[in-house]
Amino acid sequence: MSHPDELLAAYVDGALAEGERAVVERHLHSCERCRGEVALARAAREALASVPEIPAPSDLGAAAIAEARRRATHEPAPASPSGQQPAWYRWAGAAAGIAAALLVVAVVLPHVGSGPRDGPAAGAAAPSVALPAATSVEAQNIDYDLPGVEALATSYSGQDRAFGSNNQSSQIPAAAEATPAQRIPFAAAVACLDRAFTDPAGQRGPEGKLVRVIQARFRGTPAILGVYLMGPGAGQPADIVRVLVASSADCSILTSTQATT
Amino acid sequence: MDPSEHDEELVRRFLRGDTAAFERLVERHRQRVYNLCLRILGDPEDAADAAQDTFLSVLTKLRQFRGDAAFTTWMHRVTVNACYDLSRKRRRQPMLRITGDPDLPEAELGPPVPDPSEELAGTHDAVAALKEIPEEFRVALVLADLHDMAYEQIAKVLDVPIGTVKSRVHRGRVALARAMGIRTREPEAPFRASEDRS
Repeated sequence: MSHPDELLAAYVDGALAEGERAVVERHLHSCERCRGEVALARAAREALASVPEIPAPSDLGAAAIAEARRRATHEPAPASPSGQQPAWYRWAGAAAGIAAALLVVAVVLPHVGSGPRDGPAAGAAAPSVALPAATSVEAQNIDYDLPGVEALATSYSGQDRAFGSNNQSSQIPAAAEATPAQRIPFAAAVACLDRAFTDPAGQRGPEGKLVRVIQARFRGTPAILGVYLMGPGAGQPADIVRVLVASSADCSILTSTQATT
Repeated sequence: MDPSEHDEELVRRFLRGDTAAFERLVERHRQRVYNLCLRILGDPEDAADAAQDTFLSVLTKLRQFRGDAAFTTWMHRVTVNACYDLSRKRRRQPMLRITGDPDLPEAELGPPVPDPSEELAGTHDAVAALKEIPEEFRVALVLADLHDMAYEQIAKVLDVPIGTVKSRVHRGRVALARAMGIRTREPEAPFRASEDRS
């Protein structure tokens, strides 16, 4: 027997239209399981109605307000999104953006498909919206430490939103002489990251868009590094870059870090 | 409400350099953001941390807010993400949770911090049981039943189909009742967390 799970929440709310309510009630007449669940759901809804609202600490948000004030005194007021600046200014900005994008294409395209790179920060220099999902594993002869992983994350940050740019590359460890271990297939590398960073309930793997998978080492341990871009949702662009590092031997968590744009 | 006080107008004023408009936004949403964090995370200190992170994120991201979603929807999304981030951080740093140091005299640990969310008699069970149900169910349930948010808006906040929201709310209610020890005379099906996917 199939159960109308998606209708039961609204049924308990008393929010179903007449037709759907009749469907649910016919089902409940013959389904003990759903009758039991509806009784439980009603009890839970009733119990939640008595959960009180708790007063927030009075200083909550003070840090953000202080930061807003600091920015207001140190930065010029940003341009209005409603477009109060003159038209030539907006077009100049657009032209600069197009020029920057062309430069990015010119820099990055010659490297596409050229195999392992010399350093992790020589990577995908493109705005977040244009970064494609990862499809292959990038092998690197690099032994990362924590600052190196953090540098990799922050290399995807920057006010110009050119994720993966080189401005933090000095902190990333240099390539070593030794060749990496046997190349890990892409699917296996992703599965390993999923396994390491899935929550204990087993319901959700790493969030965000996986844009880069690197096979390297972390403090001497063979490792897989995944670079994920996350946004606030609701159609907004990515604003957090997260680097997750798992042991390629047993898919255990080695470290993780994140940076905001 | 005075149209100049609408959230979206306050956002516009802030983006034109009016810091007071941001303060007004924080003041208006402080209580709601904190309580959302409190019920998702179940711990007052974590909730305060996540709420602080939320407002800092809102400040940083406001320039990216395009206005194609309601501000409240967008802010709830930022809040839920801040909770997920803190929750993950806590799971990865279990040693940072001080539960008692055998080498430290009892007095130096200070008195236990009461959980204000559990102070009221009669509500302890639902509040405590919320912590025991899967996080995805809990978030949907808190938004629906504690924040009175419509399923359609929850779907936008969580960026999942509305059917998934309805299913999570129903399964969350059932799980909560069971965690509270509520029993019915009807035979109950086994708990199946995987069923919320739609």
